[in-house]
Amino acid sequence: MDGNFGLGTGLEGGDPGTGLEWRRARFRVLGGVDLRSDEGPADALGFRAFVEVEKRASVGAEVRYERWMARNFGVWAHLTGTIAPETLFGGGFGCTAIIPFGKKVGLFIEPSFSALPLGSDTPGDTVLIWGLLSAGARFGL
Amino acid sequence: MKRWALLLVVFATPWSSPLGCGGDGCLRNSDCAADEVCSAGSCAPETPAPAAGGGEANEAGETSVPGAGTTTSGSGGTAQAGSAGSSNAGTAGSESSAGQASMSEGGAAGAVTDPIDEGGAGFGGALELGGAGIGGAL
Repeated sequence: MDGNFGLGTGLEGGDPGTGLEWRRARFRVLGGVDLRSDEGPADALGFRAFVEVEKRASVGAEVRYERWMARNFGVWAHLTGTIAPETLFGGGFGCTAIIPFGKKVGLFIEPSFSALPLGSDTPGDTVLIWGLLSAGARFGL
Repeated sequence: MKRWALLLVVFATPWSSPLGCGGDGCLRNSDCAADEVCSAGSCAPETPAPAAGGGEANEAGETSVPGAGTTTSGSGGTAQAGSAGSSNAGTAGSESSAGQASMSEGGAAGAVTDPIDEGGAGFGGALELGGAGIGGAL
């Protein structure tokens, strides 16, 4: 089991009724764990919780299926969304690169892409798009 | 180590405007205040609930106006075009000023022949004109 704590931001796109617009995604603080099986260490299940801390703060979570291609590099698909103050649900994919600092500690960098078509946070029947880059510390538990 | 620390700072630090989250625009409802929604790229108040007493005016095809029926001038009888039931309906108490009820929706209304009755109906006077779409004199 590995723990993660990091920060993230990126680009956020959507159509509020005036055409597709892009802006910087809200800055977020995230944390979570990755659970790897002893029998198949290439497969893992990841859980993340995050808080978007700009404008009205929102709380969200993410669950991932991770496939580790190498010891320090993995790809994953996820379901993600926010639960408060408005709901938002969708899915996406991403990858994780780890720069190790010792046996149990490392720095992770994660680019990801998500499309979120469901929930009360999108104006109308539009899809919200996140292109995020997160980074932080990873440590063995 | 320094290089990676710098990389982290660069990507983790929020970029400044105009790409930033600041400004009046919105992409998500949660960009707006709790009583607002994101509409056409800007925050707008949520759709108001139908006002009590504005029912018949709604039938005339207009959005109800909160506070419909409140007297503003006492002139009564004069319904604003298409917004029957709003504002000036009033008590219509004065015979001399009861005047006409003009409407763009619900048909052309003629002159109110009995302003006293109109006044007696209170806010309902002009509302009924607009709601029923009665064109002629009452």
